[in-house]
Amino acid sequence: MAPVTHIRTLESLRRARTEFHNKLCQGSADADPLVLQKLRSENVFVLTEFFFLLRSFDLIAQPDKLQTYIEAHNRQLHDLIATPDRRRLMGLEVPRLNRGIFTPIQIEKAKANLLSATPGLDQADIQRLTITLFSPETGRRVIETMETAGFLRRIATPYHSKIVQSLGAAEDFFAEYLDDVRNQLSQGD
Amino acid sequence: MMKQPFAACMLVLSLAGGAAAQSAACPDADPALAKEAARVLTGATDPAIAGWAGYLNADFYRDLVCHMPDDTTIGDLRSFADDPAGLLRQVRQQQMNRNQSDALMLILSAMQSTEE
Repeated sequence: MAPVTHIRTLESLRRARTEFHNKLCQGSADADPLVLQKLRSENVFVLTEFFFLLRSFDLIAQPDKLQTYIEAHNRQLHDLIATPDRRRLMGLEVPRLNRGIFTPIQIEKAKANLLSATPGLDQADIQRLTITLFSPETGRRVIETMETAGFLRRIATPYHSKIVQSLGAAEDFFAEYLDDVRNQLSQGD
Repeated sequence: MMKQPFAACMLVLSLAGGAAAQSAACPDADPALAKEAARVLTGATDPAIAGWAGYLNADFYRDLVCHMPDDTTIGDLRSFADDPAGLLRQVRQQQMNRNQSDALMLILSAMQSTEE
């Protein structure tokens, strides 16, 4: 393949990614430069991808599907714990992976949260589901950034948990990012 | 124990830089934990750590405990009293970013299993 084709592909990816972060910053409820700086981070991109996938697979609306997803997530973590070579390749450690495993009671609570008056995932459940992406502490900070920017809402419950709801705009920007990549690459054919 | 006092010093500086860049971060950080972290670092026998730790403000220590695991207790922080550099190493480890493509593929695969 000609180098120019590689460059065009790279340019398409970079342009779409830049546009995605521009939209996030332009849509932010808080124009503080520090907030905007964080909105341009890799972790925000990745968390948005996670929320986009949750919406695409309709996992917030269907408790049984969420259970199937969490059980698959648990199996993946158990597999990683049992496979040191694969775990090392990913740079993950057993204590961290253990923190991502749901107990049967936590799975039931996660399903119940979808049926509550304020349906959504508990912040702790999101931290477990994204344990291979980032530590729970980093996960919390990224959620806080997205909340400050007005893309997520956290609702404190009487049970000392925080239900996280997405307002949907970030997922829309992510879908537009994918459209951009697809369109630009097809124009280069 | 850190081999070189200089390395400890650089670690403190890098965290201080991070804290300055994220001074609005971590509203949930427990002030008691931040105070204990300050006590551990300013009480270090390694002069390179203790010296710099004394110059750092409350925002730095709030950011530092923000990088600790959620279930960190005051007792956990006190356990670093004999090894303040160990506390810095743990924070540094929590800070490291990794490429997340492999993990995102796992997540996608788990979600795809709900369609089967």
